[in-house]
Amino acid sequence: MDNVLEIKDLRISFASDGKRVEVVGGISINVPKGKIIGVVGESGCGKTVTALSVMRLIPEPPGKIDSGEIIFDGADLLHYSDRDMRSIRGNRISMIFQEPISSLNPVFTVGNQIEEALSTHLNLSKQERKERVLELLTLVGIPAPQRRMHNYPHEMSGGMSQRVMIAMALACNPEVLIADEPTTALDVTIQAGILELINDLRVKMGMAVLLITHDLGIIAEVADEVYVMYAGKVVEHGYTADIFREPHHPYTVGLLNSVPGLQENKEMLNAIPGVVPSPDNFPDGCRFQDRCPLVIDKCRTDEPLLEQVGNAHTAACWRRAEVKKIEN
Amino acid sequence: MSVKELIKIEKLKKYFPIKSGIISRVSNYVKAVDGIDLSIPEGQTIGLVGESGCGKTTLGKTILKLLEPTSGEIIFENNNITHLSASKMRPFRREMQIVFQDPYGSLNPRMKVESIVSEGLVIHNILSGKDRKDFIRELMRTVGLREDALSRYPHEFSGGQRQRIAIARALALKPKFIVCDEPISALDVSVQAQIINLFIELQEKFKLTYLFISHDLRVVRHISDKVAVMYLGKIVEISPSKELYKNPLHPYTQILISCVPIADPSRKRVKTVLKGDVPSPINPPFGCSFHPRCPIAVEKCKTVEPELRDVGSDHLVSCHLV
Repeated sequence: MDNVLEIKDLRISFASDGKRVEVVGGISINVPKGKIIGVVGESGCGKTVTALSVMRLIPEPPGKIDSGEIIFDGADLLHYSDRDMRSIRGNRISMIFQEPISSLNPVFTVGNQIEEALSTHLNLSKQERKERVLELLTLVGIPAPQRRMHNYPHEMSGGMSQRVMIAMALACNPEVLIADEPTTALDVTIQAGILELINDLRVKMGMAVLLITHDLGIIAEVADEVYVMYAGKVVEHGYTADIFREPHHPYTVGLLNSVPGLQENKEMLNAIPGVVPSPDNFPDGCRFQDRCPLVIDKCRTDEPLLEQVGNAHTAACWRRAEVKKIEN
Repeated sequence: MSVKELIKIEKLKKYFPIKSGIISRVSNYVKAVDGIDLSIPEGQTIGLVGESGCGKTTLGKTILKLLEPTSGEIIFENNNITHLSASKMRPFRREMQIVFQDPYGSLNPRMKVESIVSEGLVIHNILSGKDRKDFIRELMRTVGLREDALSRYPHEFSGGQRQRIAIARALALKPKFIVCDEPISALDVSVQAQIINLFIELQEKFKLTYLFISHDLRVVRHISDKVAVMYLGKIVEISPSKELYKNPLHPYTQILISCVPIADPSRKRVKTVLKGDVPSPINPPFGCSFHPRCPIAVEKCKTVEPELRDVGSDHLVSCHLV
């Protein structure tokens, strides 16, 4: 398949109290052209750090990309100079963040901020830029764009600000859009609109989307493929339908069971016991061992690697054959 | 069968004045809670859902009299507490507690967990010395924390553990009623399930009554006996939760339910996406406040405000077209 972006065996660590703590431990993610790739996991699993590393936005120090490659357009982004990276960032790869309101600059109008992206990367006249801003605001579904482009961020609601962020990210027709929890801060009604917008735009513009979220519901609705991350590792990967129909990692099963549906009644949820281990204290062997219902001695000593469990479906678990048993 | 009502509120209003000009003249009001009737039976959970800015948190705080109501009545166990002075209110404060959304902001970082949890006991002068210590230790086990947590500070705990501390603090005074204001939305998915389970367990153990505020319909459905949907300071639909999710009648409720992402990729649903944002609660639209965004609005909706009326099987809805 034609991948626009390939993350290969990426390792990232941060300095903490004089020690180096590895927060992303050798993950590989492929983003094919025109697809929505979901990355799901809890806080601290390394999903945001991974996204930031693609944009080369990890603060160094204290962060450091220890090894791995990020292949975009045939070249490794990790070897780009700052100047070359600037010509990619916001132009061919762009990113939207969780908090739309704090991501916008409060002292410039939203039209101004979108124009900035255009003037940085494209050679357009002032008139052309203005037309493009209007076109983008219309594209992301902002009513009365003529008037809205002169608004300041504080005059807009959360949903509207996120639309502006998306308009800004799309300004230069990126090939890859990285969306880090784009709807977490928004109401469900607004969330549905933003997800629909992202989905429409990838169809219209053929861009690939790397969608980072903690909500399996969102993954189920829009993602083509899913990577499930836990404590800095990818523990399961496959097509969305396969993962939901037949999860092969106990953590994925636990996540699926933790989400209350709209169907069942008041009864106990099957919560995953315990908490995510902290990066300076990852156990040997499988990192999920202390919370896993299927744990055996081997899990405490040997680290499981991603193994094939189906068509383009991999899971990192010694007991992947037994996982079906936990579902009741 | 009649169930005892623990809390009953009648025509409750909470307006926040907007001051403008150099003499700070009150120019208008934000109508955060605009005439709400609600009764909460003992031992049950009422879920309260709505978008941000609909007034759900203000309602919770006004019921507890953490905010002074503008008008209306609050009746707690047949006592009208609406106009009680702070000192007369004090015995009632023991009976009603709140758990906040953000466990990072709601615990004093300079206090040890023991002081945080026992503060209420000190203020109300309940138990002392060893008895108090034993009681607090027992409480920590009840909420699923270790005893040694007592001598530590809030920053040493994760979000889920902090929320357990906040719950222990709320339980210390053996309240009858707890307002849970988005208690799990700041937590991770797997931890959310643990905390929901804890709330359900505690309710059974201590016969607690909850007002459970959340924007997440999945969670509300899971924990509530009855669900109220709020829009712009008013309840637009209220019904037993099973009935509400099976048979939502108000167009707003229908849209809210259709927007919830379901963790099942094989289920392709038709989503109705709401146009526009929630209107300002300063100047709510005339007639039905939902009409500018309503897909089925007719002329009448623009002029006449619908009443909340019973449509059978304890299901109340305020819409002209039902």
